[in-house]
Amino acid sequence: MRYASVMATSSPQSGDQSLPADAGCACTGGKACPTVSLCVLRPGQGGVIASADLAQDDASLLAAMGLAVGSRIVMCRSGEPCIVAVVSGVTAQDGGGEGCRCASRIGLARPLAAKIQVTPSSEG
Amino acid sequence: MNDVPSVIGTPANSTTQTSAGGAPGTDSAEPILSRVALLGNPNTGKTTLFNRLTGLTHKTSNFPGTTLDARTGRVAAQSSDQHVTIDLIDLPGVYSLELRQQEADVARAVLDGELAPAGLKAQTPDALLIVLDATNLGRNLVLVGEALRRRLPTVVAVNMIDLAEKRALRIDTGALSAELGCPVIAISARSGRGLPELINTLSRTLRTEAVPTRTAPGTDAELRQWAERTVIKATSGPSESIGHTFSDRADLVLTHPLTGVLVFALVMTGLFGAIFTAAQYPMGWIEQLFANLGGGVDWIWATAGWEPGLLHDLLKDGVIAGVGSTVVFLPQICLLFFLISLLEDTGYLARAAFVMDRALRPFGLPGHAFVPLLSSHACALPGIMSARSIPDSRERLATILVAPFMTCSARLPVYVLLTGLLFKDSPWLAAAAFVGCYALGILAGVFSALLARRTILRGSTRPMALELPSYKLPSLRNAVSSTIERGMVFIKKAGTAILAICIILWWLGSFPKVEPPTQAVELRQSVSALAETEAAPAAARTKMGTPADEQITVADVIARADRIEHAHAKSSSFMGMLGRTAQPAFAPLGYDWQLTVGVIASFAAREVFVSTMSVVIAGEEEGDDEARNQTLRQELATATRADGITPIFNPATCWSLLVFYVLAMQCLPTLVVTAREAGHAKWALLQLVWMTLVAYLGALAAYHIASSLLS
Repeated sequence: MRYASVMATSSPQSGDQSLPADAGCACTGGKACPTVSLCVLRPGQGGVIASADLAQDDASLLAAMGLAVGSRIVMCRSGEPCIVAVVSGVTAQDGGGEGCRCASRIGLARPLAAKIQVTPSSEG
Repeated sequence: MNDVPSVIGTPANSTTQTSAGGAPGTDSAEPILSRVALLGNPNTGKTTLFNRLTGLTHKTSNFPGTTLDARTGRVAAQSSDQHVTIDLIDLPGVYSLELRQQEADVARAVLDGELAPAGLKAQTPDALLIVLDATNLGRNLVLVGEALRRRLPTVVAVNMIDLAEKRALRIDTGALSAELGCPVIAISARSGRGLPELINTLSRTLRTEAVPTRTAPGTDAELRQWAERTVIKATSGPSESIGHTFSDRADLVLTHPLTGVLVFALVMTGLFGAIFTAAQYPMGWIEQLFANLGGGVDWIWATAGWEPGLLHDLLKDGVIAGVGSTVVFLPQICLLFFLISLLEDTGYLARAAFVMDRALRPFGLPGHAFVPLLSSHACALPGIMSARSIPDSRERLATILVAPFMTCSARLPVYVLLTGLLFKDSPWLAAAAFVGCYALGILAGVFSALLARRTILRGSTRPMALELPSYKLPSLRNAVSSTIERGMVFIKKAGTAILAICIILWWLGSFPKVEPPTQAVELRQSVSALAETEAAPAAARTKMGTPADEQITVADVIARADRIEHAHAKSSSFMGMLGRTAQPAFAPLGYDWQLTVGVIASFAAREVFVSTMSVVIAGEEEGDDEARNQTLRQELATATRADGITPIFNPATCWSLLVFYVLAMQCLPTLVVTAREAGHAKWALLQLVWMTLVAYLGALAAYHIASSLLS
């Protein structure tokens, strides 16, 4: 199984800059970012959560668990249910690409995963 | 250093919770008594830290109006020249203080000074101790940011630092402290590393009342970005390669639809195999202990020369026998919680819930419900108590309500008796009927859960969103602490509510006292002048209907007279009267008054059915002698009703009884534990009514189907 490095685009290394809402998006040139359901990500494919059409309680819980709009994720196991890694502390790696210093794994049922839209990374 | 010097764990005194003898912030040498709330995400090792700091002497109650456990303990420490005593409150693990869920509601209320564990006065904590997972700082820091807004003196403990170091992840606690504006200490709650420094820092913070010098940004999005930036500033080391960590590789196997289920089946088989095999020895010891206690009562009465009377019977048959019949389950409960705690600590239990979620979800139950339901096949008590791991309150309640449908070990004697009567010469058919009983219990349970979730516990089935924590070695200390905690809760119940009801049932089965029946009196008179070892006289042999070639002694005659008296007393008791009165209600199920007495007498414990039937029909209880028990069962099989022709246990009645005992709630301790775990007695009442109704209708259907097929 191939796992992509986490993200293709830059992330804040320090200072007080805010993360852009589309951090990690693979699109360029001002085009609208294509989003897909989280369910369709392949194992190892990363992305950034773009939106979530969830009930308030579910959305709040997922956000508290780390699955918020703008969060970087990597699909670990696809299917029903799936396992998603929520990455944080994203860093530049030697030789290009990025890695992360910590990640938590969340098991997600399809009814939730299907309602989360993700902007996939270009390396997916 | 692996231990905590000058830290003494003692239970929090429930009556002196306000700052006594010196307020925080003073420089006097007066001792300081302060309240500290322990806050953290789930799976951060918060409870491990709490157990480590307070020892095994902490007190467990609940937060009023909830079923959430509230652990409080006392930590004594020295700061400069002052003694600091800390009352530590372990808050429920929460991902965010802003969530609309019971755990977050409780945590918020405690921090606002509106709620405290039962027995404590509500007040705003003097300080916060926040526990973070060193390997997952990003998400944990969001909770820290929420807590910082409260402007309470705060200390942050970065736990599992040893696990982070194994991954070569370095955490700069100085940089983190600068970002958070409060002290940050790296610890390992499992090994005890860093705990002395943590206690000293906490004491100092309490003494100086130092509030954090920084606060977190306002909106949720800004808070997450702040947390992300803080992680980057405070951590260094190689990047984690997602998909190639040990956890990821293990998850490929343990969460796979096929291998995951296989491993789960193996783990659960091992778990319950261990419980059944290892628990039988201490269960035997407990039975022996209570038998000896009963013997002790006899000895006291004999030594004092007292005639056994009401007090003797109350102590021996009511208190000791009643409590003993409940406490005997303690080893199963303790062993189950010990092993579950170890499994939970490893991180495996979350994977088990993940694997089982798909199977249970259609019935409105989460994957978490599998362990409670499976545990209930050993005994519903630990099963119901382990339902606390289910996050959603409706799903937890549904699991608790249906758990007693699972076939527990107490049903087995009844199954053995009835399948043995039904398939005397066909052991394979008896085995198939056994399997059918298990299947019927499971089906009744899951469909009852579905019904409950569609009606009284209506609400969308919350799709699974479950954190899968990193795999790690389990903490023995945690497992022992959890075992003691659960065991004590159970023992307290056995010594209070269960004891009271046992005494009532004993009274119903023992009163009114009646004169011995004529047959028993005549038997005794016929041997009154003879020694027990002598041969029985012809008069006694005639009254007993003993064949001429059978040798019997005076002792046999006395034993028969005892049995006749016992059976007469039982059928004349209030319990017997109840059986006769209630018999018309059970007549459609095919039960005569004797079976009805058996059903009613086994209300408190279903296994009592066999011994009650033995007493009522054969005038003798089952014992350890297998040959004698075989004879007893033979007597039951041939026993007839009042007409002297119709067998009590005809095939249709046996099927009816079998279905009734699969489905009926005939277990008093389970009802008591349900009331406690569900938070209100009404749920236990509902469980009793529903299971009795299902059992009645099921038995009715079984009786009529069997009658029409077998006629």
